[in-house]
Amino acid sequence: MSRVGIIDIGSGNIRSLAAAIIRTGHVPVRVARPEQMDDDIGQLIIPGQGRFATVMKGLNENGWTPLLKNWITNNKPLIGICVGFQILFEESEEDPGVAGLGIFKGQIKRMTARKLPMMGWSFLQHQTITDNAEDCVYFVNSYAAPLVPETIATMRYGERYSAIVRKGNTVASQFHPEKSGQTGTRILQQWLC
Amino acid sequence: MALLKRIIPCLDIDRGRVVKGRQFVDLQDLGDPVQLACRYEQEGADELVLLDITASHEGRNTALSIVRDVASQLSIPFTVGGGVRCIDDIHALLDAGADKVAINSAALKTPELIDQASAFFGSQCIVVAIDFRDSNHGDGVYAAGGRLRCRPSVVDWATEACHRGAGELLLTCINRDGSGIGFETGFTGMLANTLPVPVIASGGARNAHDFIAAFTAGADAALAAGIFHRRDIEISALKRQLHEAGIAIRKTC
Repeated sequence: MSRVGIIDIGSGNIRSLAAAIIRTGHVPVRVARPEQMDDDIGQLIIPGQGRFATVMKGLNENGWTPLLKNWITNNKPLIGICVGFQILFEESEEDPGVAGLGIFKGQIKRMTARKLPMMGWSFLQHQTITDNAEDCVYFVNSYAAPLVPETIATMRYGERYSAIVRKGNTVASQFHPEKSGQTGTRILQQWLC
Repeated sequence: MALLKRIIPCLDIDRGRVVKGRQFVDLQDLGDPVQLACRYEQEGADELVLLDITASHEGRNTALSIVRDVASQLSIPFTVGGGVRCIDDIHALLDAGADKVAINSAALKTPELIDQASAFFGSQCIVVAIDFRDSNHGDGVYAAGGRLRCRPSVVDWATEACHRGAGELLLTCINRDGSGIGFETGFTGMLANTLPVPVIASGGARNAHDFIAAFTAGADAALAAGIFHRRDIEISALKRQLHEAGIAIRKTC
C-alpha cells in the first residue's frame, strides 16, 4: 500500500491526524519539502491550523505550491483539512491580498454569527448521500467557504457554507475528521487510498 | 443555532494518574489517563479536559508524555490545563497534541499573556479558565486553589479575557464544585448569552436536570468530573435525557 504524505510546514500539530490515519490502517509520513517525498507516497494531505496567510506562506516558501498544482492537474489524490481546505479556494477575507491555490472559485469569508469561532459539533448536510443524514462532525473556524458547484456537503452556522468539496481526486473538508470521533474516522477512511 | 451542546468530562491528573478531587491529601487513584480518556470517548463524551494538578515541577514531563499518548489515541478534541505559566508551556502542550490549552492563574497575574497566546497560536487554542464564587458566597474571581480573591467581578474579568483574545471560557463556580447543587446559571448564562465566545459551565453537577438547566440558561458546554468518574451517571443515559428534554446534543452510535 502506498503511503500518505502529510505536508508538514510547522503551522500546527499533526500528531492527531497521523494517529487517525494509522487507525484506518494506512501509513502516514510527514513531509516538510517536496524533495523529501519518496515515490511511494501516493496521496497528500494538507492539514490545517493557523491562518490562511501562514499556510500559504509555508506552502510557497517550501516549494509546495507548484507541486500541488501539478499534483491536482494530474488528478493525484489530495485531501485538505480546515485551513488546508480554505487555501484551495482563491482568497480569504482573513488575509486580503494573499492568493490561495484557486482550485475552487470564490472567497473564504468571515462568518456572520455572533459567536466566533464556530467551535463544536454540527451536522453535515450531504448533497448526494441520503443516508447518514445525521452525520455530526467537529468544527473550529471563524471563516468559511461559499457554496460552489463542487460542494458535496454543507453545514449551517447562521448561513449555509461548504463543509466538503470534491473535484476529481481532490477532496477537502472545513471540519476536522481526525477530531470527529467515529464519524470522522469513517469519513477519513473513505478518502484515503 | 446549529451547534450542539457539549458534554465534557474532566480528568484531574497527578503524577500520571487520574485522581479524585483536587485536594492534595487522600488522593484516590482512578487509573490510567489514556484508558479513561478513551473510555469516555467511547461512552459519548464530546470533548475532554485534562487538568494537571501535579505539584512538583518534575511532573511536567510526565504531563507531556500523557498528552502525546492521549493525542495518539483520542479522536475527539481535548484541552489541557493546570500550571500553564507562559508561551513556552502552551507551545509544548500544543506541540504534544493538545487541541486547546487552558490558562488560569497565569492570565490573572499577567493578562497580556492572553493577548500574546491568542495572537501567536490562534484564539481557538486558548481557553481562559476562571474560578469564581457566586454572589452569596464571596463574590469574585479566585486563584491559588480558591484561596486568593483576585478580581471583584467575574463578569468584568470574563469580558476582559474575551476582548484580549480568549477563544473559549471555562467558568467554574468553586463554591458549588463537588457539592451536587447544580451548575451556577446566573453569571454563566449571562456571559454565555452576551459574549462572542463559547462558555463552558463547570462546578456542581449532579444529574441530567443540572445539565438541562445550564444549557437552557445558555451555556455552550458543561464540564463535570466526579459524577462521571464515580459512574453516578453514564454519559449515554445523560445524553438520552438531554435529548428527551429537547437539548441539541450529539448522539453517538
